[in-house]
Amino acid sequence: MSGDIVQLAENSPIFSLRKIDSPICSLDQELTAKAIFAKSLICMSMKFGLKFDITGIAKEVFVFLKNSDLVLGLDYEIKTKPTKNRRKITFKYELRALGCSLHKVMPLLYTNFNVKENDCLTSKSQKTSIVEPLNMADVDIIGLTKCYYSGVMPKVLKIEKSKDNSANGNLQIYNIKFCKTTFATLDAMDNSYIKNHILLSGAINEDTTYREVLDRADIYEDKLKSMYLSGDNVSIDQVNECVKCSLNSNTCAVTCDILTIDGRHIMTRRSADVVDTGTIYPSCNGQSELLDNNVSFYKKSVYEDNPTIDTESDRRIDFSDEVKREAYAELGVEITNNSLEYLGISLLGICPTSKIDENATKCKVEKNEIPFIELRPIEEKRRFHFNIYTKSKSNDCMEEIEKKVESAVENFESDKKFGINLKIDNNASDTTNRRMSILMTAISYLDTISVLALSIVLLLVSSFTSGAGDINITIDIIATCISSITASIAILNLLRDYTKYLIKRNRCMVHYFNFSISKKKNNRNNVKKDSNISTAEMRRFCDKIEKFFKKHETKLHPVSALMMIYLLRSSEE
Amino acid sequence: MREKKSINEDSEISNTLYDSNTETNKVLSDLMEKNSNEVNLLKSIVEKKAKKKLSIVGEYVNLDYPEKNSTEGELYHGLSPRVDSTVIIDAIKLNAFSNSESFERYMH
Repeated sequence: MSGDIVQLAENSPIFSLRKIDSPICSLDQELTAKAIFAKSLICMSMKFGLKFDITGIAKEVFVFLKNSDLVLGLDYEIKTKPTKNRRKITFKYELRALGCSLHKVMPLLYTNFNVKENDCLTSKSQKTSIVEPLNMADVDIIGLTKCYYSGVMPKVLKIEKSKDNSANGNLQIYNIKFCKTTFATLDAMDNSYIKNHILLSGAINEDTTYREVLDRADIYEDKLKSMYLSGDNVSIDQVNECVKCSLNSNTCAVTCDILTIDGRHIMTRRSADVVDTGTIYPSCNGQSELLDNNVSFYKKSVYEDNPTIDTESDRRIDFSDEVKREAYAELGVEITNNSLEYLGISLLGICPTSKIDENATKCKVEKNEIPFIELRPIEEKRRFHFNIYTKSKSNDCMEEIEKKVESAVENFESDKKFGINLKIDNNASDTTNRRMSILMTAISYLDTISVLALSIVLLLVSSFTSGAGDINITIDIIATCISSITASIAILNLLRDYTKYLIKRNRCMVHYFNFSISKKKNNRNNVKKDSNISTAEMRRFCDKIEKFFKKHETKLHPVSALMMIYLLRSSEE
Repeated sequence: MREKKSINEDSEISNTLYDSNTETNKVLSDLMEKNSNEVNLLKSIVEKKAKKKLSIVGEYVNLDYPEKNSTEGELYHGLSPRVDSTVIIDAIKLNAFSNSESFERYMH
């Protein structure tokens, strides 16, 4: 059955799932598809809210709703319009951990309320209304996120290594086979808690509910990942087996480390409105997307929102253009194909282990089958996607990039930038050169101070030698004038530099980190040398960068940690 | 339209393992683990080897779709992009998410 499709609504293919031939257990795939379809629709609807004008009692009514057990996680924002003495409320029916119940909230909005003197609310009164007129025609539907569209993404089906390297023996070639999936699907798959929505507690058929079917699908995915992907070493064959059986969207992101012309690796802190808030990401990172005629956003948005992978074309399908697109969208930086190098592929997942009751006896357990009845999957986020790692160089320095970021279309994704200067010394000569360079830079910064000091010395000398004769007096006056002017210029320069420093510090957009690593000396006795960088040096680097980010109240995302590993290892060549 | 290919036709591949047994890698693994938040599964499955260049390309495999061979009938794993924000906004306006009955009707 592998490769077949479960498709809902045959004449209108709006939802389908690849049929899976699972070694773990048998899922009712028609039912699973229907339940995931429902979950996806609800997940999408949660991205939108209602905005409408209300009468004066609305605040009290909403406070009542918020404090009652009728609604969980109700959120609203009151914006006062002083001129009209009316309040505009942005009412978000956003589901939180347990979700506010649309099932209960929407009928409430359509019900007229009467507020009595003792603040008790009674419904269905014709006297007072929460919303006047409460008609959907007068209600604005607003987006609750900064950017929302269901882009088309690759779902990885298989990663294979090319055996034929006869053309060039120095190449490792990997081919990623994929079909299409969408962001809406990924979003629903990632956010397991959505199944707690009241609408999904309803019956999907005579025997079971949407929620129970979704529970089974989650348990199935968790079991699949723990079966194939646990342990330190995971082969590509295991990964391929896992994705072959996975219901998840298994998308493929692209990640790039960009080295500036002044030798800084750019890193960014994720802002509050995006996933992985507050953690450190590499220079740029984003889901790769596929050009698709069904996505209207691609047709009308800016060029950097338009995917570069065209599945209709017979030309090479390349992820490097997606990296370039992402770098321009997030940082405003242009990188070229020639400067782009692939470093590796990782898989990244949130993989909660479902609690399995070993003593479960209430249900019949088939061989290799999970006792569904006794299981309750942990309500966590789930994630299972791939990442392609690259590195590249920019012709801009860190300060220029800082300016370019301001006009980048996706600059909201990060709120802080870091410039990591990581020097790796191959030998003693490199170390000496680097230290000399630091010394020369320090001296160049000191030139203004030197001029000031010399001017003061000259002033002092001229004051000691003054009054010895007419000619000397003239020389003294000239010397004093020159010394004073020079000293003033030096002081002004110092003030200018200090002001620049203060402005830069207050803007606080880029933070710098410097570190140098020395490679091991050649040691003939070192028979099994796994790295040219000593373990102690590696540990010193890890500790220092951890402390640096801790000082900025953040920490590396594992993707960034792996990127550093790739960079350190590739620098050893 | 790209010719449809079956993923089962592909030959077996050799494994590339990320060796976490070496002392150096253990230090780096510590770095990843210490910085892991909710993510508890990160595996390097392909890594550029020393002195070699790595190339990664993609290949599109269309999901089966009987009797149609155009992009109009193209299938997606999961929700089609045809269901976009406009569709959902219309559904909200139609009050499709207000209760189980209306949602069930909308689903069909």
